[in-house]
Amino acid sequence: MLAAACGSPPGPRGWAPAQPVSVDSQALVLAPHKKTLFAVSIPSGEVRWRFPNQSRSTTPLSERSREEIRAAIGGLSVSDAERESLEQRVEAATVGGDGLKALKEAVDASTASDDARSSLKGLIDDRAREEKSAVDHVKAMYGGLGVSSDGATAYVPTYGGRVHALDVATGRPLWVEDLGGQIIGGVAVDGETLYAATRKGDLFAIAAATGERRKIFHAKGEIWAAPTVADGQIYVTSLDGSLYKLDAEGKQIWRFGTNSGVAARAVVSNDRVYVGSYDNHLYAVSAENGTEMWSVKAGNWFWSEPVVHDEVVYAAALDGKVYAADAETGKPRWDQPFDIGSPIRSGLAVAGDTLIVGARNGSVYRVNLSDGAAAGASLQIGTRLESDLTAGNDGRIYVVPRESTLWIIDAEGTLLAGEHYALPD
Amino acid sequence: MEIIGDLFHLLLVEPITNMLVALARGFGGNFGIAIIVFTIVMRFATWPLTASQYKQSRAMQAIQPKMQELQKKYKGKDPKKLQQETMALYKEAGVNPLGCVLPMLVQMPIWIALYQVIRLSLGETPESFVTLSQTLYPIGYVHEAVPLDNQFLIWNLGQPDALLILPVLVGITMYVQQKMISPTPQSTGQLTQQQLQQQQTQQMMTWMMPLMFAYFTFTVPAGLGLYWAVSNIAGIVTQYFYAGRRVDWAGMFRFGPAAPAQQARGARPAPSPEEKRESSPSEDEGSEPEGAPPGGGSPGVRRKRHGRRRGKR
Repeated sequence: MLAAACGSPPGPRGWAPAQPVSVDSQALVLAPHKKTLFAVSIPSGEVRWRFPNQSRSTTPLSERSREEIRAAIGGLSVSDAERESLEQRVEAATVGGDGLKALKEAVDASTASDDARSSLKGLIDDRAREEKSAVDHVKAMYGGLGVSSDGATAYVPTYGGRVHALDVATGRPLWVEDLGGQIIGGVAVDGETLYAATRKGDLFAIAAATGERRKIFHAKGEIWAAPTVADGQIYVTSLDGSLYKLDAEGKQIWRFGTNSGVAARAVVSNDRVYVGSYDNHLYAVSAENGTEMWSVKAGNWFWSEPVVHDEVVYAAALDGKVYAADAETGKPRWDQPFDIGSPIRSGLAVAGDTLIVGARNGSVYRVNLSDGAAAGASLQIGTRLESDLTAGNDGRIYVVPRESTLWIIDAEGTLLAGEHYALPD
Repeated sequence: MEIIGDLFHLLLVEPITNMLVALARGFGGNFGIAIIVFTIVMRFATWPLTASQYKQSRAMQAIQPKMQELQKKYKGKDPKKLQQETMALYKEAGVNPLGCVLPMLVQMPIWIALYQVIRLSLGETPESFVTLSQTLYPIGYVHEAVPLDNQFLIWNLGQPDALLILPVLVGITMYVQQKMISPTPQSTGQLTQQQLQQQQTQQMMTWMMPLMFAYFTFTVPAGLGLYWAVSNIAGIVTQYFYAGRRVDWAGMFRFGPAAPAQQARGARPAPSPEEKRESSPSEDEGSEPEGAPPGGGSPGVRRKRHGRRRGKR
């Protein structure tokens, strides 16, 4: 009776934000939803690819693993025709199922020595097992995707503790790396290096091309936010209540302590770092020496990343209010905070001269940046909204709420107009 | 249903969450100590019910001889009369058949709430933290206490105990606690078929409940298992003092019905008709010192029996 009353705990659902990209001049939105990343063509709404595949064992083996297997095949004493045939099988290899079976059968049928065949099959099995486990562990996605500067590669952090590098055009996996702990924050891309942190408090530097990783820092508490990289230096927040400034090698430069956990990502602007804490305060901290410059108090936790625009800091709190403060002095820029009445977990977005705010109850508001007044009626998405809002270069806002829908909001009109695309299960 | 859920959240989940978070902050963020303190507080708060349970259990045992007599008299002849006489007997002895299970029923919503509180407070998923932010009262002391330390000794309180230490501890302590308030199985030769079945059912429950709770503890977060373990230990300690510090610990692990010789030594045998005539249930209860074991002789608790000495004379 007790077990029935308690029920099984709800699993993680994820709240990773959408990411608009462009492939061959065609607009594509990478929409992470539940256990899958969808690439949706806009405006047709067609799902161009999904990762992992619906039947997870049919997900292709990563390019890094295929390269390793190809190198091993190159060392076999077999005819060129046989080698070519094996390489074709490698091209179609998957993490399980028929694609893997076909490759292993081809190896078995080859004329290579018993030892060589056994060694190659061992390598294939190892890589397939690792990558099958990786796709099986895509339980949910919370952190924002990283996209390479050329827009060709997306780096996908998962709650299962892996970072997957995917080819944006095709969705094919390039590599996958296990960070050994759940990833809640996103990936920060800084040229050829990615930074991602885990719930165990470990911060990793990852080579964007190969996925090779180095642990460069360990915080005392869990890390729930993506690192922020500015001027070659890294800002990391932790549930141990700290904001850390690190150099590129992970050496601590200073630490700023708050009175509670920090789950929000830090924002750096004009030598100041802005960060919200579970102690209900938004802080401005000197980027140079980590001293507090000012703070703003809310009625509940700050969780989302603040936005800095025209020397004003905008931050939303779980008390359902949006605060606007002068970036230099912290003085309020609005007569009163914009009050929605529903907790705000989602990060804000600026579109033109308005601020776009998404509340947990599924309402999306447009707020005048100048005076904090509502600009027109709200848009009702009709489902829980906890993911960050993403402002695209086209001035539109991309939202993936809890329900299987991608919303694209045109923020230019007097009223918000939303178009939405259903995402498959 | 939604209203019931909201009320449940408002009246139980929210206060318990805030109490536990405040306690945890008071103990340096240690959620395990907060659960232990909370459990002891709950034990104090439900003491009137627990004491009533002990009394009811004892009174129920005290009227067993008369119950047996009624069953012999009316069994198979006049079930309606048997029911009436039984109810009259309950009334005369001041026994409420539900009295023994009431404390457990009262605690069940607390267990369910605690299950939700632990999941909520320890941030099993990021979503649960958003809900937690809305559950905490707008008091800086509790708001700033988050995140809590989910580690206590060897356990992650937000995850089930894979080491099985807590499930075993909960099972054993619950078994001991049950045995302390349960009657000794009587020699099968003295029982009618119906009584034998009742006794077997009772013995099975003495096993089944601890096993069930051990299984629950295996499946729920360790924090709830810690609550049950501490609650059981507190119950054992309470009963130990309530019963006058005389407990036959070894006797709890002697299984099966007591042998006649054993009953003559340590447990009270079924009363003779003379005994039954001599002592009414109320006299029986009143004649026993405070803290006497339930009825005709608990396996765990032995003390001098006023009525028995009287019967021997």
